[in-house]
Amino acid sequence: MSSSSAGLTAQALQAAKAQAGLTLSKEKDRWVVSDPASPQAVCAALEEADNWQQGKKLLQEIFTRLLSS
Amino acid sequence: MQSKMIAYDPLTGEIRGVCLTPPQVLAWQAQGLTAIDGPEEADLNTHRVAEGQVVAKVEVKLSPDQSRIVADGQDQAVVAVTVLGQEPPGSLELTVGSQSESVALVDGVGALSPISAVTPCTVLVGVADSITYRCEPVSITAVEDVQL
Repeated sequence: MSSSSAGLTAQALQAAKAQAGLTLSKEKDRWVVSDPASPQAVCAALEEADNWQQGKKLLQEIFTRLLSS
Repeated sequence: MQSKMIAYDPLTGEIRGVCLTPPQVLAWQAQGLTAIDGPEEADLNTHRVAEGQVVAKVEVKLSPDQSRIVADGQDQAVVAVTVLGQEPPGSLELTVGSQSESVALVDGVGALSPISAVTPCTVLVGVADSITYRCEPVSITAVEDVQL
C-alpha cells in the first residue's frame, strides 16, 4: 500500500479529494470503510463521550446533519 | 485523416490539450508543455504520449461482485480487475477512497482486497495511474444496517 500521488491526473486528484473524508483501514486483508461524519459514527462517539462538553458538541453535529438532510 | 496539435507534459506523457489550430502552441510551450502532431482520434481521456508517440491508454476493467453492501462490518464487495491488451503488468495500483493498494495480476487478472463498511458511505475504486491506464471508476455504496 502506498499513498503516492505520482501519475494522478487533475481529475483523479479531484475524485481523491472527495473521498478524503472517509476513514479507511486494512483489517485482516480487508478494507474497512467508515464515514466519521455519518449519524451512526457520531452516535457511537456520543455513547463514548465522558463529559458534557464533548456530548454537547456531538449532539450539535447530529442535529446539524439532521436539519441539513 | 486530419491531424491535431497535441500538448503533453514531457515528464509524465499526460496529454493536457488538443487543438486544430496552431496559435495555441505558443501558449502551451509557455506552460512548459511539448506540442506534437497527433491523430484525429487522440483525446485526453483515451491517449497519452510515450517516447514522443501518441499511444492509446491501456484499458482496465473493474467489476465489483456487488456495488451495494450492508454497513455492518461483515458484508463485503470484491472488485475484480482486468487489464486488457497484450503484455499486462504483474501488478496494478488501485485507489480505494484516499488510499491505494497494489493488486497482483496473473495474465492481467486480479482482485482487490474485499471492501466492507461500518457506516453508510460510498467509496470509489479506480486506477491510480490514470495517465497510463484508462478505467471507469466503480463505486461501492454501503447502506444502513436496519434490523427490524
